[in-house]
Amino acid sequence: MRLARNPIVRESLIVLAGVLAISFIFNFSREDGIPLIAGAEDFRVQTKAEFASIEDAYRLFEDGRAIFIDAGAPEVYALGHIEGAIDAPPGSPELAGLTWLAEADTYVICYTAAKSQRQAGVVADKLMEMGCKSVFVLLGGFEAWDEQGFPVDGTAHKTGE
Amino acid sequence: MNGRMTEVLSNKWLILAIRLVLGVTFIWASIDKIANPGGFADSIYNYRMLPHETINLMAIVMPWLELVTGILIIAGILMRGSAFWIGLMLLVFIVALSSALARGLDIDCGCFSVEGGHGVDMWLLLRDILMFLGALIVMFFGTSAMTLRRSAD
Repeated sequence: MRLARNPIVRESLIVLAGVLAISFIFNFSREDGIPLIAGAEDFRVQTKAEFASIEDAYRLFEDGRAIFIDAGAPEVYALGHIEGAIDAPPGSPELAGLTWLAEADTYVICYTAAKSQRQAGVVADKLMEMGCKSVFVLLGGFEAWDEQGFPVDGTAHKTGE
Repeated sequence: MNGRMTEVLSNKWLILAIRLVLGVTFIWASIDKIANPGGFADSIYNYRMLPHETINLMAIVMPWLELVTGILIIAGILMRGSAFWIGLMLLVFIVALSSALARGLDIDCGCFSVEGGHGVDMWLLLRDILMFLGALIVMFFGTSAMTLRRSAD
């Protein structure tokens, strides 16, 4: 009880109670609210695009028949990315500027450096919305590419070392 | 702690400056997360520190905790309680960032934007440590000077 009389503890509890009420009401009343408890499947990539294996992607890379899109933040892209990849995170002007891809006769392969390729899925869907055909998400993303020793730009990436 | 140090840390202008920096930072940080809770849940997931079951709860509550405490600490209402939560959140960020750096994770920090934010690095860690110290100062030395609460009184 003495603890509850401490002004910091008392104020913290009041703030927490208010925040819990506001956040739950807001989340559950909005259309894109998320469930309180997530399962592992909620964090897997969800996309309308198809998936490309590392081997298929590398074959297209060697033949110069694919353009790679890195969906990660510029700072992460700078650390390491597939050689020649374009950085275009979700919501970025770079992504919005890729309208020319819709006219290009090429495969488009999206990936990120994160384990989950969710952001790559978001970018792939956006590119398909923009009219791009032959859009794929790279299975395993940058980590799997780097582990194979395939060409990368950037020197600070930790994976594959 | 000696009297001189206490006097410096209790300075109302110092406290006001810290409150403004913390408040603006946390309000700004909350907006994109509130707009996109699913994306923020992904950012938390990328740190690979929490069990799946707890990630959405954190993604729902934390942005609002940032917004509400940011507003309250600027207004000076429930200021020390708000400073406590800001300090606690910063402590969580510091642990998560340190862990991500130690494991060599190349991920978006999820600090201000859930889509294409800032990567994790030492500067980010240093920034959070400084803000954490600021939150402690407000929590332990904050007074009702220069607050809306004082005006109401």
